[in-house]
Amino acid sequence: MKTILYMAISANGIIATETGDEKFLSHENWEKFCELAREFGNFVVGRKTYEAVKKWDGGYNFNDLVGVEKVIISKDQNFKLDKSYTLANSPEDALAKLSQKGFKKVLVTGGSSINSAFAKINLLDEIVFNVEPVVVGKGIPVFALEDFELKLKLISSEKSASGLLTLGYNVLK
Amino acid sequence: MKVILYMAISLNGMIAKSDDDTSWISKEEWDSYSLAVRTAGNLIVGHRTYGILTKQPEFSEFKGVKLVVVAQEDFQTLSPNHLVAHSPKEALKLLNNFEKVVVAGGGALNTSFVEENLVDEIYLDIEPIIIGKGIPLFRDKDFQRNLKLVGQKRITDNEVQLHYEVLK
Repeated sequence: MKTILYMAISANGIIATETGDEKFLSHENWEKFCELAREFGNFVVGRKTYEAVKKWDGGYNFNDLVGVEKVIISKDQNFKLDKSYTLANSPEDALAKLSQKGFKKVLVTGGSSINSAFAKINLLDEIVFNVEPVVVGKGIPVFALEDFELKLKLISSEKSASGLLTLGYNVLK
Repeated sequence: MKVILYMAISLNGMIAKSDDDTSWISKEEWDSYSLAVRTAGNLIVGHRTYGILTKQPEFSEFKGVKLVVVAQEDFQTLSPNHLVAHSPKEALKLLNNFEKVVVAGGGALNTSFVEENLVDEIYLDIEPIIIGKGIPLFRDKDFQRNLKLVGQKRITDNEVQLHYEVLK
């Protein structure tokens, strides 16, 4: 099983303002995420990200990803999900559920706590960040502050016309 | 005068580990940074960064560099070429005969410069590492600045340098 963390970040590693506002992320980034989720056929997010995206307007909705397995991680096993979502209680559980369905590649995409939960137990194989041309002083970091370290190998760096920079890394194990 | 913020960061935006450790920053990155500083002929850092930087053996490369330390209070610097300023604006005033000025940490100083809209360009050298807990590039302050990516290049196979213009 290969696990890829895919996130959009500000140039200083912030994924949302303190109030959860993600307006500094581009539409282009959302499109890239949808494209990748369709290619993988799945994605995994935390409960907070699931709830945040539900509140978004402007046509951004996980429900549009018809046919894509959507796994939400929550410690609360009674957490009520909309139809077509699968509940998991940990990163390992999320990967096991997708593995049972025959997936070989899993897309993990936030938020902060989930990213660190995967990183801490060394479950990430690749990291792909879309770096937005912005710096944000106060906000939610791409990894919740926890004691761990990942060594990486740079695989690709690609600039789009709008100035979005995609950096791809392998996690060295 | 053009003000450049130049920093090496982990992929998740940390400039040091919690214990100030920067040993994960490569020699090649140091060379790139050192060249930028020596070319500009000057450097602005915060008090704590000054303490860390001047202990490094490579610091001897900065002999001819005019260095300004932004500190709350006056203190005895290590060289007559090292001046003390009490604010970002005062630091820039001390260097007003330079065409380019390099600002390079730490987090609090970076934040003051960006918050006061004094930075024109940002260079970020991205090291291939994620540091879970560390000292972030900017200290928690409520600001947002849009940038324009004007360049990106590889410093080594494993390190990419991002060059941004700050949109004002």
